[in-house]
Order: sequence, then C-alpha cells, then structure tokens
Amino acid sequence: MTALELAKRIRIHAVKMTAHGKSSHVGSVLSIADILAVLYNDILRVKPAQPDWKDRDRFILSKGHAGAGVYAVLAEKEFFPTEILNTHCQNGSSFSGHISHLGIPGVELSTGSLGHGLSVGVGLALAAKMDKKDYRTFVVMSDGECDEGSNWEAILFSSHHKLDNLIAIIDYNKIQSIAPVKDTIGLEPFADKFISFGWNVSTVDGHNIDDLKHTLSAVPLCKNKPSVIIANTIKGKGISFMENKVLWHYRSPQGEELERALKELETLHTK
Amino acid sequence: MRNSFFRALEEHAQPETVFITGDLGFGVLDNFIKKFPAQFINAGVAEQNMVGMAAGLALAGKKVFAYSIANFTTLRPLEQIRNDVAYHNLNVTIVSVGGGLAYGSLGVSHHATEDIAIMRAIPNMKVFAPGDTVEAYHITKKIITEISGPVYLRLGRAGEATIHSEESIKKIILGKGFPLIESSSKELALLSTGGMLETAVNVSAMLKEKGIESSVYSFHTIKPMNVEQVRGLFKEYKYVATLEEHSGTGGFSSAVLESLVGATGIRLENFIPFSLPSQFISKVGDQNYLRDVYGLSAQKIVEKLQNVQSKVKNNI
Repeated sequence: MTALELAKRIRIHAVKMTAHGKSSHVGSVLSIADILAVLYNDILRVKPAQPDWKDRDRFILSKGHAGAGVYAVLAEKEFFPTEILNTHCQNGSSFSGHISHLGIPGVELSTGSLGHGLSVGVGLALAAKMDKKDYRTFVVMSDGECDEGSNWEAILFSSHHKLDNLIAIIDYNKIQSIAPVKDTIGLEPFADKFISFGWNVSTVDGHNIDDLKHTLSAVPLCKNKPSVIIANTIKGKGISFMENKVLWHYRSPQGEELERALKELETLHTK
Repeated sequence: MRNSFFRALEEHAQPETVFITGDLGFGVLDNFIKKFPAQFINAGVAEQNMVGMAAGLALAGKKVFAYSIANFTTLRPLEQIRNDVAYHNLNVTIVSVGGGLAYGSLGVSHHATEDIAIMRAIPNMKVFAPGDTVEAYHITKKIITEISGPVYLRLGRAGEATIHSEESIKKIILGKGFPLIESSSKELALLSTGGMLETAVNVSAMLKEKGIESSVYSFHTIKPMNVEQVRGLFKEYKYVATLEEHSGTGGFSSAVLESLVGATGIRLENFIPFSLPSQFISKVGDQNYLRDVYGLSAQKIVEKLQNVQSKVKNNI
C-alpha cells in the first residue's frame, strides 16, 4: 500500500467512525491524515506483531482529539482488526474519542488534555539518550495546542539537552477550537519562535506526501538540536464542504453529509 | 527526613533510577549527583514538564523520582500526575518536601495542607507520609527496590527526630500502621501520620504523667489504607485520635473514617481527629508556632483529649 492510499483509507475510516460514534473532530483528523500515513507507511520503525518491541520508534499524538486517525492507521497496519474501529465512541468500548492506550496495541500514550504529549516525548527521547538507543520519538501537536505553557517548558528543556532524537510535527491548519488561530492567540512568527528557542525548523506542505516523506526520512534533521516540522495543513482536508470550516471541529457527518463526504473521498486519487 | 530520603537514594539507586528536581535541593543533592551524574536531571522551574518528562522516562523503563516543594510537585502538575503518570500506572514517585506547615513562615504558597487529599483521590496512586527519619529511609528504599506504580511520598523538611529504634526498623511493614507504643490499657490510640509522630509520642508521655495510658501508631501508609487494622483499633480502644498536619478535609482522618463505612460495633463519638481547618493560614510563623495556633502542639492536643475524656465521663 502506498502512503497516499493509506491516507485515503484513514480519511474514510475517520469519517465513518465519527459518523457512527456521533463524535467531534473529524476536521482535525482529516488535517493530519497524510502525516499519519507517511509516518506509519514510510518512517516509523514499528512492529505491529510486537507492539512493545523495545527499540521501536515512539509516536505520540498530543492532539488527542484526533485519536480516530491513529486508531485507523494502526488498524490498517494490522495492530488490530479494522472491524474494531466500529466500536469507536460506543458504550463499553476502549476506543475513546480522545486517544487511549489501555487495551489498544500500538498506542503509546493517552492524551486528550492538550499540552501533555511533548513533555512525555521529551522523557522518551531523554531515556533513549541515557540508554544509548537509536529509537526516535515523534510527537504530533496541534497549532492551538501551542497556547499551552507546558509545551514551552518542554521546548526550552529539549534544546538545552540537545534532544535531536525528538521530532515535533505541528498540524498548522490555522483554525483552533472556536476561531482562527490568528484571531485567538496568534503564533506568528511561528518558525522564528522555535529558532530562537534553539530548535531546528522545517516547514512543509502537510498534504504533500513526497514533501513529508523527504523531510521525515533523515532524522535527526539536525545534529544536537530537536526538530519541529511545521506542517501547513487544511482542516477538513479532502472533503470540500469541510475544508477550512471551524464547524467541522465539532460536527459529526450524518445522512446526506455522510454520503457526500464518502463519495468525495472515494474519488481521491491514490497514485 | 529529607536527608534520610537522599541517603536511601544514594545507597540503593539502581541503574534504572532517575532523580529529577524542579530546581530545588541546594546543598542536599551533591552526593547523589557525584555518585550518579547520568541519573540526575534538573528540570528547571518547570514542574509540568518535569512530571510529563518523568512519565516519558518511566514509559521507557526508568523508575523516576520527581522532587520539589510540596505544592509545586503536586498542585502545579496535577493533570500530568493524573493523566500521564497515574492513568498509565507508571513507576514515578512524586516526592514533596515541606509537607504541612514545614515552611510555615514562607506563607500560604508554601503551606502544603491539601496534598494528601488530592493525591489519594487519584486512582493507582499510593500515598506515604513517613513519621521520622527512619521511616523516610525505609520507605524510600522500598520504593526503589520493591514498589511499582505511581507513588506520592510526602516528606517533612529537615531536623525531624528519629523515633524508631534500630530494632523496630526491621518490623516496619508498608501498608500497616506501626505500633510504636503499645499500652496495656485500651483507653486511647493515637494514630499519627507524617511529621506529627514526634508530637504523638510526646502527647503519649504527657498523658502518662497525668495517669492516662495511650498507644501510638505511625500510619506512614495513607493509601492503601489498612481498613482491617483501622477497624480493629476502633473496636479495641475506647478512644481513637488521628494526628495530621493537613486539612481535615480529605486527609488522613477522612481516610480513616472512610474505612469505617459499613463496619459494625464502632462508636464514632469517641473519634477525635486533630487536623488543620480548611482555611488559608495567612498569619505566618514557624512550624511549631502554627501547630500551636491550630491546636496541633502536644500541649493543645493533651488539653483537648483531657477535655473530651472528662466530658464523656461526666455524661456517664
């Protein structure tokens, strides 16, 4: 399977899961579908049959509300059967709307409250350095999440400790919970902030598979510095009526909307 | 207690032990750093990152101690403790110094008077409050070598007395209140947690001079609470008093009361909790001064116990 095909499947699963579970955040999943696909298809050293393999790369979804996307990619990569995805947000299921690790192979960390994932990633990266292991730690964060002060504690710490095995990927779709980022707490000049904190910064098109693959294939991106990849993305990417709409941070596609969404996704090119 | 904690750490640290400080411990960390330079981290004044990072280290197989002054290591990173450490059931010990009013003169920000209540409410979390230097050493050693999962370790500051004898050290069992003084009379049991132990022993001695016999139990383990032992003590003794340098809301006395729910044959009117009121202590003073103001000095405790006893006697 190509990363492009995987991204399409993640999107289809996410739409079905959020529809079936009547849950929010489909737009947030669609904006990271390509990032997840490239990571799990081409970058992460993981073994689905041995999820606790000691030398695996660590992946943390800090924007836990997009958990459906990670569940979908893990299922497609055969960490567990895709049929289980139907239980997402259903009574009695382990597959909570915000990502949970308990009983779910392949999920490293439960999140859901923003501003936690990067610090945990720092700990994992630091442990790898202490133990002289070469696994890498990838943390996907949201742009709105960068409002959380805890992240900036982690950003300070990880450059001081030269954690070049830590890679933060920021889903910069420029829309946060109820309004655009620029109208809430603006992040620009975003890259400059990281540079001044001692990080290596790459800016990519978060929906360009080749661009993502190219950037992520040479970790550490910069020796002795942690790296951040600012991925310019579109909230709701892949479904015309969801793109760049804050509404789809919350709304669950139902009825005609669901049909239209799935029809649009079916026509996405995979080559 | 703080020094005993560090001594245990220095003597028993394993290759997987990691100690993180939130930029505190001037003068007491030197030996550990010298002995285990690669296992020491100063997280800076950034407790949320400290605890999140501790969770990450523990996920990678480390056994982590995250250390700071009580409120900074509990209240500030509370969500990291709950979501990252406790939900994932990780080997992280949150170590607080200055539990209670140890930093009495520094003001409300440094009064750790709700920490036990908050920490024991978190699932998977064990809560230890050693009563003297010996218990602090022993419990720290056990955490390093035996205990797994999240722990809250509430220490005093420095200069606490050593109450245990060399002999009694061997008999300390985590999860069970230790009988330091066992009187043959079953009039009164003083159940003490944390740094109140010395006071409890003094209370017992002062009461003895007045002809009242009492036993003293050190409840270094607040969670899991030994329900069976607590129920047994309530049945065995006429009066049971709890001593804690903590708010009466949700702390040790609450944990004791919770363990009585559903028990039969227990007389709650003879339960006398000594704790702090649920209020901010804005008038400062040293630890002994504040303890006296809030009725936690040996003198005040003795007075209250005598009053309770004589009232009950008169009613009869």
